[in-house]
Amino acid sequence: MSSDYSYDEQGQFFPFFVLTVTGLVTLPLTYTLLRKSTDDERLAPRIKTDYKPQDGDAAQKLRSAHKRRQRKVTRALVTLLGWAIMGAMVYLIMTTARTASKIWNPYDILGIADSATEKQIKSHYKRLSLKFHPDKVRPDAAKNETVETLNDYYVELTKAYQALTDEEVRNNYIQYGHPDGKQSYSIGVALPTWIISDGNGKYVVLVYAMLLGVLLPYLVGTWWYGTLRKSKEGVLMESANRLFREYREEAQLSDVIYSLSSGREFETVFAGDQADSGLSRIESRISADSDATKSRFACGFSAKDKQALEDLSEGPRRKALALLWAYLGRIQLDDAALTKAKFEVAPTARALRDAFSAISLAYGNVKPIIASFEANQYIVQALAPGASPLLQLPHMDNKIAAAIEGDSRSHFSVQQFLGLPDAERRRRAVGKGLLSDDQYKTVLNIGSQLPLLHLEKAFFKVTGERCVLPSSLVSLVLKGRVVPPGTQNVPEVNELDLEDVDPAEDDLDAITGRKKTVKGPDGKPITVEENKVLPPLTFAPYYPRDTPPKWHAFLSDSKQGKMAVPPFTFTHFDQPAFDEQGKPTFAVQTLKAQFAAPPQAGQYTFVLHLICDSYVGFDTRVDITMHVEDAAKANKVSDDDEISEPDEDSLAGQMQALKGGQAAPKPRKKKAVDDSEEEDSDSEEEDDDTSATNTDTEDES
Amino acid sequence: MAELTHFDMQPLQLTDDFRAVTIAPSASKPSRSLQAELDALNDLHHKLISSEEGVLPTRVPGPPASIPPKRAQAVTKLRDQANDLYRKGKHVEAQKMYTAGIEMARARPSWQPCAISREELGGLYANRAQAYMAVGQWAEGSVDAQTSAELRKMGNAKAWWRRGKCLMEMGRLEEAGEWVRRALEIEGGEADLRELLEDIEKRLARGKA
Repeated sequence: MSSDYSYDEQGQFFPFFVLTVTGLVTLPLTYTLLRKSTDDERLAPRIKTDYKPQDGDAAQKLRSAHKRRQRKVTRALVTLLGWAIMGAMVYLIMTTARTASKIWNPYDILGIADSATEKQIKSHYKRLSLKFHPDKVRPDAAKNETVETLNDYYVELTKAYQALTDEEVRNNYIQYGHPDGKQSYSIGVALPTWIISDGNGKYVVLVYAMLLGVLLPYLVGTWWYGTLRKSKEGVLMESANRLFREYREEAQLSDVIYSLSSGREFETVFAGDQADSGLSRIESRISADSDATKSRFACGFSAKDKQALEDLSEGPRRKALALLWAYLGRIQLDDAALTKAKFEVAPTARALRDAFSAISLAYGNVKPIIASFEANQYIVQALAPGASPLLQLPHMDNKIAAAIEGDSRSHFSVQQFLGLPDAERRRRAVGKGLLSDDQYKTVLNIGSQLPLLHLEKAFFKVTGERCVLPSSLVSLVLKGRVVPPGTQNVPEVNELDLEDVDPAEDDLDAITGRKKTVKGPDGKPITVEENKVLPPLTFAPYYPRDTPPKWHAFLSDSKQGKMAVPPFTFTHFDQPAFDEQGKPTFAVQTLKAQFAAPPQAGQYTFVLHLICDSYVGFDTRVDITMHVEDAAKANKVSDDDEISEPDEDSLAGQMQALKGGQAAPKPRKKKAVDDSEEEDSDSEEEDDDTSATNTDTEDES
Repeated sequence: MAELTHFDMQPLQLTDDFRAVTIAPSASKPSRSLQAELDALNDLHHKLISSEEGVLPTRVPGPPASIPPKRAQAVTKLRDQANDLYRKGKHVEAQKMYTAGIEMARARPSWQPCAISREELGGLYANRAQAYMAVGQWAEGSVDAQTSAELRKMGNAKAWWRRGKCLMEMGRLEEAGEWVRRALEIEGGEADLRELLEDIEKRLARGKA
């Protein structure tokens, strides 16, 4: 069973092996641990506020728990362990006495200095050989000397002496570092010998078999089937199937909320008797009469939604839907477990909404698409459908919002309320039973930090062309400014900023999109670096996760009620929206989205929807028209550059007449008139071409 | 595949003459959705066994190409009569005649293509809305006009216009503005709609001032 390999009998190479293997794992782990996280959630700034909602403690606790889970604690522990093992191995390596061959130094062996002369070497050697000749010396047991070692030592001395004197040996020494010439290769295995010794071999094979045949397939299998079970949005495939079946063409916000409760994820959370406990309490609370509106119940659902809820048979789905309505209506449940479940429902519902959104985008009907975006907004902000957008502001509840809105038929949006003059705002909001002064100040403070993107200009552009050509790559350019609600003294927009400048033809960076081109102060295009500025994280005190806000822009065809261009998502701005003091900079932000133009020329009217996915009421809808010019018309070149038909009188003209071509046109008689009418229509010029033999020196421009 | 987690036994029973399925009186909880489903089922059954219209002798609905024209003719006749009455100025009778036409069109069996019914009903509701407007019943007119617009979005400018006018006359100016703007998105070319929108905005401005 032994092979020609020399195993590590003394166990001195084992540390190297362990060191290498541990290093392979620990070093990348350390890198991933220490590298700065590029997650948007960590890099984005936060809205500065001390506001904590009354019952938002549970949400806050869940938020911190989620962050803790993400904080890579296990990875840090494993990395520390790895480094500890590596350290131990290094220590072992340094302290183990090695019987590895050292560099063979003849001076050391003879015991003389490097600078000894030949004569000194010779005499020294003679003395030593007298002392240490094996025939003379007796082995001394005290020093562990045997006959063999004595012989070996004497041979070493001789070799050393010869290395320094004898020609051949010295050559060997210089070439190979050892007087005996080329040393043979020895391969050692850095594993202890007991692995291959009798009987143990089969255990080793067994270990390998277990690793390769059992553990590896198990790991790969759980990972593979785990990924198969989930769809692209991180939602179980079965939930996605159910959402697909629940999809309706005319889905509204309440229908979307109803569909979201069909997720399979809820069944795992509310398994068994968990599904029924507390259901009656939740339902009684959410169905209580609303204190603000007559037509809706406490949680904001209408009678139709209540019916839909009660038509569900008792089970996880009913509880999930009830909790979701309780969450949206910000209902107090007075039960720690139920409250925790209520807040936990929201992120799951949001993930399911992503799946629903993908389905509705595939179908292309505008109503469900908008409903699914609205669902995202309402879930993040914990607002019920039909509730006032003012509830997004701190310290607000239904009563105060109703008092602020007064007689208005429709709800005020945040920007409408904060856009009122200060006296009017105070009159409506501050008072007995309404906001106090401090609370009002908090409202203003937070309102001034909300990133409301105000659309200034939206247009279509094809890079490098004057107009849009069929089937070209059109950019939808949106120019907007972040104007927080309630900002006074908004400066006028600089017209130069609203233009979209084409990059110079040789500017590779700008064309590939790495840099962008703006108009410099002198009006010439210059390239600047693209910076990625993240908007502050969403102000959503009831939502138990940190979410960055995103903007979606898409075009819809209102005649057919279908989506014309799929949504583009924008997560960051290219200019900072707020400066260090928190004041808005009113810099013009550019958002670009590219898509293919229709293949036919004509006028296309779209409705542009710019939707913010985390705030209610921050959306914009504008009508926008795209003129697609005919390719031929756009490429019209001036006809003076065209090669004209040959003149009838010339040789070429007669050749053409022979070939049966058209009769060459007579030279222009109305030349004088034409010169003065330079803007003549192209068709007229075509007929009156200048002759080929025109010897005039006028400019052919 | 969806997992079948449990089996629900519904408390159903047939009536004695085997004409309908009802919920057994012993049912503990009255279920609205179950009753709604049973109503739809009974209605379909009733239509199949009673109407001869487009039903083969084996009580199975016939192919969709062969739709008996009787119902369509009846609806058209009723509509023409109602139009005559309206033109003569007898608005209330016109309303009644339109209602009869609507009932006739709505009773069309569900296995026949619904596009025909939608067209008929679109026109009838729009005309009935007009009849309501002529006597000043704005609320009913607006409901009917809205129904007509929902049945036929495109090419139905008059329904859009009629509801806008009703809302304006009722004083619901903001809603009227919203509605007419939506209408303009779909029927962009109608000058009447634009005029209506201007009217509404003028009134709004007057109201605010």
